[in-house]
Amino acid sequence: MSSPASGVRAEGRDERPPDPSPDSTLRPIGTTRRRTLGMDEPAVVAVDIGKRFGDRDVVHGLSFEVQAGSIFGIIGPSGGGKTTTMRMLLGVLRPTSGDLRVLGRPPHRFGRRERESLGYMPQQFVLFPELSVLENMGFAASIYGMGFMGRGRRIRRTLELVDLWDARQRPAGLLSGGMQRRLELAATLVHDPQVIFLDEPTAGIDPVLRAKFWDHFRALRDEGRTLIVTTQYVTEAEYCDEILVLSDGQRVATGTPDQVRRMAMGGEVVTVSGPDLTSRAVTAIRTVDGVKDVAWAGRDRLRVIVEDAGTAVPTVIDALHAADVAVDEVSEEHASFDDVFVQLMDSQSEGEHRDGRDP
Amino acid sequence: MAAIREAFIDFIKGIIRTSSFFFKEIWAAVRQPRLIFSVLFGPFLILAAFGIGYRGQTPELDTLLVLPTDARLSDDPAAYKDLFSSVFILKGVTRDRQQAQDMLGRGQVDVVVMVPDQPDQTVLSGEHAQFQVLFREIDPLQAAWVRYFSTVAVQEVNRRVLADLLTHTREPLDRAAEVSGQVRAQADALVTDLQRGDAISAAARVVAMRQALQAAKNTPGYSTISALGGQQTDPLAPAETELSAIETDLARGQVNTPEQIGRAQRIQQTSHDLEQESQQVTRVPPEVLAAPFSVEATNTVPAEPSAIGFFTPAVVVLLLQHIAVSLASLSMVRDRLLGAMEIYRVAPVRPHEIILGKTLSYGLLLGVVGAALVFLVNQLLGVPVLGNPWWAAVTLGLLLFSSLGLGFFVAGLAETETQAVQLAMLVLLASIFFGGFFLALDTLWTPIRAISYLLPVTMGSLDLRDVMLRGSVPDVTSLAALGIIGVVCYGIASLDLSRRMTPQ
Repeated sequence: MSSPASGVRAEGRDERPPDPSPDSTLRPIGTTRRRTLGMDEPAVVAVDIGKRFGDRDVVHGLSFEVQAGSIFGIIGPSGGGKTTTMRMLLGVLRPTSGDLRVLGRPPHRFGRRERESLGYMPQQFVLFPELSVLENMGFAASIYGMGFMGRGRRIRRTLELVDLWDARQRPAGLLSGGMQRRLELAATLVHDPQVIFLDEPTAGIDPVLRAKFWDHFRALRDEGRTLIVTTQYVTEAEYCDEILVLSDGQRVATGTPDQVRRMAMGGEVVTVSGPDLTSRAVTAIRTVDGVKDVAWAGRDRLRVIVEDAGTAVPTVIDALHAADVAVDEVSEEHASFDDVFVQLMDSQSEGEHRDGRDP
Repeated sequence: MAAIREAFIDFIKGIIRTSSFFFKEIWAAVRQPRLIFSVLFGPFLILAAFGIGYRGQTPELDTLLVLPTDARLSDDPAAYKDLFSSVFILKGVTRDRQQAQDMLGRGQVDVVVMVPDQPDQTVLSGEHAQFQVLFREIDPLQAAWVRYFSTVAVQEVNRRVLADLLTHTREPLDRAAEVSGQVRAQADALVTDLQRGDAISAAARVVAMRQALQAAKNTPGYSTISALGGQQTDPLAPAETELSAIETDLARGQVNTPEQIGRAQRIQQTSHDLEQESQQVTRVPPEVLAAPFSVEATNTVPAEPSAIGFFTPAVVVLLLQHIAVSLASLSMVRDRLLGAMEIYRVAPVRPHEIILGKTLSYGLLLGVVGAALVFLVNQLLGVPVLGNPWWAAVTLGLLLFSSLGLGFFVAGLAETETQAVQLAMLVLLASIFFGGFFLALDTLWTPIRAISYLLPVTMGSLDLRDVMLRGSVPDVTSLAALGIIGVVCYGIASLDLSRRMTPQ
């Protein structure tokens, strides 16, 4: 159907959710920032921390850093230790082992000054259903010591940010699930925190609102705030600057999303498809520098693991052309984080089998 | 300077954080108009219904009188109406004991009173003639009332019988009065004879008079008259002694001596007194003689309250305590169950700021309710407020302080809202039994009475009654006890909340 040359398109497949519309109402809050950390300083330093409840290790051997002004995602299956890790970072739980510092101090020893720098959006809706949106916001501002003078403007801007200003007089209990999550987010941000902890902030909300949330998280990050986000939606790892993948309370992977993807897949992935793919094509591809592995991914499709897809794609096309193999398409495959996550879990399971442990 | 500024900012922020809980609870209450309505008007309506429905302390018992079969007594109930007090309402008279007992068994009457057979014969044989009173009552208080009023009724019957007997036995008293008159006449004549120097006539008068004295002492009513006259010994004994001395002088031929005249005049005075006492006793009505003493009890309180007036302070205090305990305990438990405690643990909030904020909001809310209740019962139900209203405010303030503290203490024991409600109900139950609400504290065994003094309602009721009904200043010890209960409860509640907020 297509010639070897004309039918080839070299393109990366973008798995990221669509960018929010330009007229999104989730606008960053223009406020004066309290800066106590430099952008290159870590907001969080965890060294081999663990948490034990009774005789059960819920989290163990975790080491990671969170740079100030970044989005750090903690990703993993339900019951994997995400919330326990977050509660240790918040100072609600004290690590039973290791050394943990947030903003330079062990969080369980935080004073009021440090706590004023934290924002926390818990997993469940904890605002007060009989109070109106505005009253809930007033309560959230007050418990962080925001004075009565001038906080009205701040509350208004935060509510406008999450599109709830028009609903400010409605009782929180009568809001929809999505609106309640937005109200919680607004309550988390109302006192202008430096480090924001979001425990599964997008759980149970529709994809459009989820995209808006992430857009806003990025805007907050761009203002210099540090965000630590737990999520079960592994595709949301894409939005983070760095991620920590947890399973059974252990670190499975950590790094930037690309680093984790590469680690999971063994390198970058290029797919070759065409009607006449034979062993000759496999041999030709293997001669290309930087190719680490070639495997069949269907009758007319090959998956090629390379060190760098950008340089490998034209070289592979040339090699196939030289071997007189007709192909429809040679392209970089941006492995979805669903695949990455499955791969990571499989690898961990195999590792545990190898170590003689029951996964 | 910077440290002072920091401390000042911390102080201001502490006030702001405390206010967040104050306003949260106030708004939550304002958003629930039914709660406000029930908290304010519920207790008032209960009091009003109680005031309308309460009949007083004495019961009214439908009574059936059973007469002996062979007695010649009237079968007309009207003949016995005045024998029964307002407690025993005479519903009929019968001579059939079995029928009476059947009616009692069926609940057609409350009490059956059986008149004894041949009471005169029983009494003459030296025994009590016994009325038999039958009733079916499982309430021990009501049963005690029936026994008490049975005794009162029998005493009334006894009094009437005695009065009747006295009416028919006046003759000895009349005879004693007559003899006393004769003694007095002889004494008058003796004085005259002696003053005239008539020794022979005087000697004869002495003999006659000795006989008159003996006759007086032998009269059946003499001892009664002596006793009613307040005489401890024989009142005629000195007269007999004086008479003997006169007789001796006359035998020696002495007459009309000053000593003789003096003795005769003393005899004259004694007999004159005896005659007067005799005449006085015979003039006393038999009803008075049968029941010589009566009683007039005077209540010295400024105004004796009605039953609703007496119970109102305790009801107000009990309701305020219960609402305070329920609100405080449920509020804390609800915050925990909602997950808000997780937010408080992360936020720069201290346990005492949470408790203080909630205390101020509920204190204000219930303070308004308490003041409104007192105003309403005063204006609409006529319950007096005789004392200084500021003392009532102080009492209610300390009551709310200790009750809210008790509520926060209860919250520490409860893990669910159901448990909090159950514990609040247990406090209410204990308050009803041990708070002096309807059982006087003195009726409790001393070690158990200690429970009473652990309950705010006990001291609150005493103090509010003092202010409202006696018009006095509340007892300082009771007020101090309310404060101590509050301080201890708040201390324990704060420790518990601190423990819950400490990183685990």
